[in-house]
Amino acid sequence: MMKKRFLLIFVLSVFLFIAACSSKEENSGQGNKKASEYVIGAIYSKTGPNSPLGEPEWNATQLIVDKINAEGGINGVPIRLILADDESNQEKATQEMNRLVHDEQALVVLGSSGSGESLAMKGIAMQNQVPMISAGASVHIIDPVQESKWVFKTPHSDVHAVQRIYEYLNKQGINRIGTLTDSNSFGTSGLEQLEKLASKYDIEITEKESYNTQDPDMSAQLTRIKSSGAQAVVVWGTNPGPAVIASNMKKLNMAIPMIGSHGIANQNFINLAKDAAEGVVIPTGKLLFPEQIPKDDAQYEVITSFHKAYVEKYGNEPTNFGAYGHDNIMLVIEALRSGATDRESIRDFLENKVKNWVGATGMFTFSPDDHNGLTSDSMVMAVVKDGKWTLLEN
Amino acid sequence: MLGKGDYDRMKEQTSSRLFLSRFRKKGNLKGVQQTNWIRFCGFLALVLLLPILVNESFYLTKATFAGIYSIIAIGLALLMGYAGQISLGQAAFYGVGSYATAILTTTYGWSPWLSLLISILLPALLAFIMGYTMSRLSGYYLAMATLAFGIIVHVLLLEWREVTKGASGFYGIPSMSLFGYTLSQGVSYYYFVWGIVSLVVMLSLNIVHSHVGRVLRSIHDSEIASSSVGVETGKYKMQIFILSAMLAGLAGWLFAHMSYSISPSSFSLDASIIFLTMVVLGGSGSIWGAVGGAIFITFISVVVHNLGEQFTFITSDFEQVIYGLILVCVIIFIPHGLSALLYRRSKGSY
Repeated sequence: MMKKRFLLIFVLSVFLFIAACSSKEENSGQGNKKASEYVIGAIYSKTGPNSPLGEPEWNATQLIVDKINAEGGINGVPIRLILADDESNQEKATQEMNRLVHDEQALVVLGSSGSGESLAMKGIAMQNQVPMISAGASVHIIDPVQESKWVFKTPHSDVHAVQRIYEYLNKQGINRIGTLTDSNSFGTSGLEQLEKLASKYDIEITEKESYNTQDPDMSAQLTRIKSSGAQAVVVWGTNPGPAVIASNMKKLNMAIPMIGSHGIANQNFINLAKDAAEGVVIPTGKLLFPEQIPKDDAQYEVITSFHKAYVEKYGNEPTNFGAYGHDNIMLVIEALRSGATDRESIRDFLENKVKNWVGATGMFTFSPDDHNGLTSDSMVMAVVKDGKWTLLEN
Repeated sequence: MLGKGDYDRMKEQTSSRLFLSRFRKKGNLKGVQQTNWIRFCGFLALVLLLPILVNESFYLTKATFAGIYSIIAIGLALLMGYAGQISLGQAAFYGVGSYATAILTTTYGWSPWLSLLISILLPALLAFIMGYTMSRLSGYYLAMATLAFGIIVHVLLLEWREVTKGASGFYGIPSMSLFGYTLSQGVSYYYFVWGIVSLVVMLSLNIVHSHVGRVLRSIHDSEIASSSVGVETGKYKMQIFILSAMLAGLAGWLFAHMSYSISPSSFSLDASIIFLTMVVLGGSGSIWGAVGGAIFITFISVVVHNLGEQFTFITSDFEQVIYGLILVCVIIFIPHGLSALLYRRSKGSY
């Protein structure tokens, strides 16, 4: 009796296994229909620790697709945007990426906001030959470029920000600095570049300190930096850490300037640090203060119109992250407009045809050797003056 | 106030009463029960069936993750349900297994099959060292020690940047090939993972139904009683702890070669707690319960995801709320977990 049942189940399962194999073949035959819509996938971290990054990226993407579709789509074909939230979680990013690539047959996938999530997605993009444009900061997403054929990214890399800072320091005649960096991926990747480029700009790092994002007090690290004879403190992190550091520096009466990173390019930093924020200098994208960008700037038009539309719809600032979201989707739209409507040709378009393309983050020129396409010129220096970020004239 | 001696005596009495009551119930000699192969074949059939019923990649990826978590949950169920020990550091073993293979295959160019050995042996070694130093700990103290271990490993993965590449994660992990066929995310990896889950289930059922399983259960019921009849409780506790670490390491190996990159955030305390939830939910005294718990937790996240697509106000935060709610309900209404509930239904008695 038991043997019979065992046999039955065994036969059944073998049968089902064969059925599984054949049904898979049927599936792969589909999906070659004439496009009645362009499917674009986007994975951003709308919730979780990366939500301050993901939310503006998510909103900007939705805003632009709505606008394009209201205008009648691209050459009469509407865009179907599939937005997915990875919750700042690598496993979720993997699952959503699989869904967008296989189930939804997306032409291109945008995202994600964080570097870790973007790297997880990169593996799937490379394996399935799907173009992907990330909004993550880490340079490893597109480096080495030979192994990143299908992957691009639009945000400034840390290397640009560090170059900007060191150029500024050189001009100020400062050559001894102390670094205070967050222990998360943003801070460590910043520190890596600070160390790498220091000798090129003739800068000596006298003291290297780190902290955790939620630490309530960094006086101990600052005291050590102070006694090392540094002429400036370079702080690499996102809120609230740098705001705490600014307050600590004020309490310790440290006269040396604090240089931040593009991670605190938002009003929130000033709200947290209050008057201790005065005089803090950072490198940033231009979207931080659209009204201060000179009219003859190549990006003026793009930045002002995007900023206006965003604030009108969502009632808050898009920040630099909104600019990443904007540029990612606009690059794809640019490709579709030029007639690149499958995965392969979209990738080729991005790599070879995007030259001096004006985005909200900067001017992009992609090439087979550069999948970031930005130079440090796209960043400007800003200083907190009277409780507001102000463009620092060169 | 009761003295320690009184307490121990009481514990012994209750446990011996429990022991006897188990024998009194007819046909419920779990100790000498043999593995139910029909149930196992049913499970195999379900595993084979799933990719036919759902061929969406999203569900297959979810199911693959459920398989990886099942392996860890089985190890934890053996530890909790049979040896009565709690580990809050399972994610650390999972992480060590994962990083070991990632580093060996990427930085040193090993074959993934060779690094499998290290992915299993390294967590085993760590568990041995821990078990050796902590063999006198039990109950809350062991839980605290494993908790500390979990946090230490997490910090190490974050800060040992030369080796682990820090918080942004280790990337460029090669995928595996079996008989010249590359195993990539999708149907092939699903079958691979669940094939291994089946082997692990078979192995664990055999352990549970062997001499060792009976000894472990006696330790669970009363450590004092079993040591007084000559059982080397420390040795068995240590063995099962090492086995659970090895299974977590195996899961880590599977996870690393499924993904292109791994980062320390996957191996934090949160992960350990989710594994614990799976086991408690499924019923800690049951191998099937552990597998069921892992599947159930994954199922919840799928439901929340699908609801979230219909109603915008349902976000991923709902998942945490639902996990908590279910856990509370399970503890109040079915303290022996889902498997006990099903068992009672089918057999009429527990």
